[in-house]
Amino acid sequence: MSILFANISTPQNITDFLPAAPAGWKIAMEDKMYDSKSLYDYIDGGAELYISYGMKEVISRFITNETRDEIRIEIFDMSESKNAFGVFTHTRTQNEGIHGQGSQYFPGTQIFWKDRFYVSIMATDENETIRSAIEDLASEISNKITTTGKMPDIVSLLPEENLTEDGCIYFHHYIWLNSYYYIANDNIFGIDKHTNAILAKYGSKENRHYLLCIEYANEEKSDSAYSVFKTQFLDQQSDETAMQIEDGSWLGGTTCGKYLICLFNAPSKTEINKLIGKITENIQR
Amino acid sequence: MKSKTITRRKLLKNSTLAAIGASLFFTSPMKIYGKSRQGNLSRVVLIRDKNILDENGNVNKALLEKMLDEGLVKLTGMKFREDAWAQIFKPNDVLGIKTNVWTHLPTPRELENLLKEKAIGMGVIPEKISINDRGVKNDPIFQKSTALINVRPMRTHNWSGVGSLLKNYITFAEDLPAYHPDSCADLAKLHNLPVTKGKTRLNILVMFTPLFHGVGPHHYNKKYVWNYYGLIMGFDPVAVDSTGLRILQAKRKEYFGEDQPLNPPAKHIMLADTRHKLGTADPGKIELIKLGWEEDLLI
Repeated sequence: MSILFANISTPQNITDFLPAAPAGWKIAMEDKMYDSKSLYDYIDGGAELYISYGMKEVISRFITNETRDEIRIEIFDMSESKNAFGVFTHTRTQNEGIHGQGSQYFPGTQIFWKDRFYVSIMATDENETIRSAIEDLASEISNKITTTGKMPDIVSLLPEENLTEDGCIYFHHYIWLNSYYYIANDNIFGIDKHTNAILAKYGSKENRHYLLCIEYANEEKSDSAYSVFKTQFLDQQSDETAMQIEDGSWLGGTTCGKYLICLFNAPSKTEINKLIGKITENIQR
Repeated sequence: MKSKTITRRKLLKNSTLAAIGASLFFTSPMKIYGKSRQGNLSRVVLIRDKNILDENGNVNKALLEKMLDEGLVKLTGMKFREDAWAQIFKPNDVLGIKTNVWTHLPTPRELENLLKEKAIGMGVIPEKISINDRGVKNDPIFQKSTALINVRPMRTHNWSGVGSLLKNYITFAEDLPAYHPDSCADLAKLHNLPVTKGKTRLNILVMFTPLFHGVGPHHYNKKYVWNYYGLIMGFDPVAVDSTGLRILQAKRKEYFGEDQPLNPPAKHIMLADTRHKLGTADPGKIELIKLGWEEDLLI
């Protein structure tokens, strides 16, 4: 989480990263490339996720072996490293840190991000042969991407104490506001491609609370978002920035310059003040 | 601030909204069969049989027929299965069975064929029955249909929260991306298109092996599929989807060990009720009849 990488823009193209078929495997068909318009033709029902994170293009390669196992290799150019990191945080439940700048293996599926690229290697099944092939493919692609990217600065603002390991999602499309905890059905905080937002989990499962931090273009916009927070979540008759609500949990919020900071489902006012104090300190540092 | 905004705080303060929103975001042809029999309640039948699938995931056709018959008898309130099916199919029907062919979790072929057999048994002419998904816009039977059966498996979805009955009519749309804004908030409109409006006779949400979480671009991993062995049947697609969603949410909580809301929330199910008035998503207004295997029911 705290490791930041040099933001070196890369001239490399996603076609440069396509791996050779491992021994015993062969390329099954011609590689295919899609952009944000044609992605709908390729990903059945899932294109919007990648488009919401600024996807520029994706290349896919199918490989197969004698036993007709299939592996689908997809390399997404997400335009910027923050987008590749963001789409990775959307999917991963833990960062195993084996490939690229962050990776996770699910049965038959390897995902990782590096620089502005997000990679998915997915098999129709899983066995030792497939797992080994996926491992080789991931290593090769990761090595071919010779540059690294920078995580969004907003990630480094998160207080580390009690932060759930790999428990944050970075986004700049409002649809992902409710990723860990239902907050609102609409874009009440004006999240768009000009904002950076992070939602983070704190505490144990039994004592879970959620910190939302949004970076706006300027203070006027963060103040405006705070007014919405106060109207929608706090007691409008009071100047209190935190309050205990109907389900017994505490919520609170504030602004710090161009940042809006909100805490949800906190166990106490003390916890809210502590977390807000710490992130404010990090912003001002 | 627009009044349509529903925040968590608003849900906690407003008991009417809370009833729907607590199961968060948690339908019906123009004519809701069976609804009038239960006053304002939408009747939904959840029927399960732990032997419906063999060890290789194959469907036991005899048990499937038993599940369908028993479920429909309860749903219609009829005494005999023939009378129940007669509520669904008329001999002069032109019938479209709207299935789903998603690679990883399609509608079971056995269920499609059984529904066709039931329709033929009620006198529908075989040549006037079609089973289709992505080709419905070019299928003359669907285009001339007098009756539709909406049948598909339940799964989570990258953009709409879940892929279920409300979303299953997306292939009737002339402009698919027009339904994408706000995480597919207005999918209920699909049930009011000229080709679909008022035609759906029965909704069946297949819960044999639902997908409760998705990873990767294709949103599928067998790790997140579990054997539930159920069917959810109803005349109100919103009520059926709402019921399936509650089961999915419960599975997610059980699996992850904490609340893990669908991402994004399946708001289109709630909006099908509150905005489009297609049916009810409110569990308090759903008469849920549970039949069969009770272990790990999750609802």
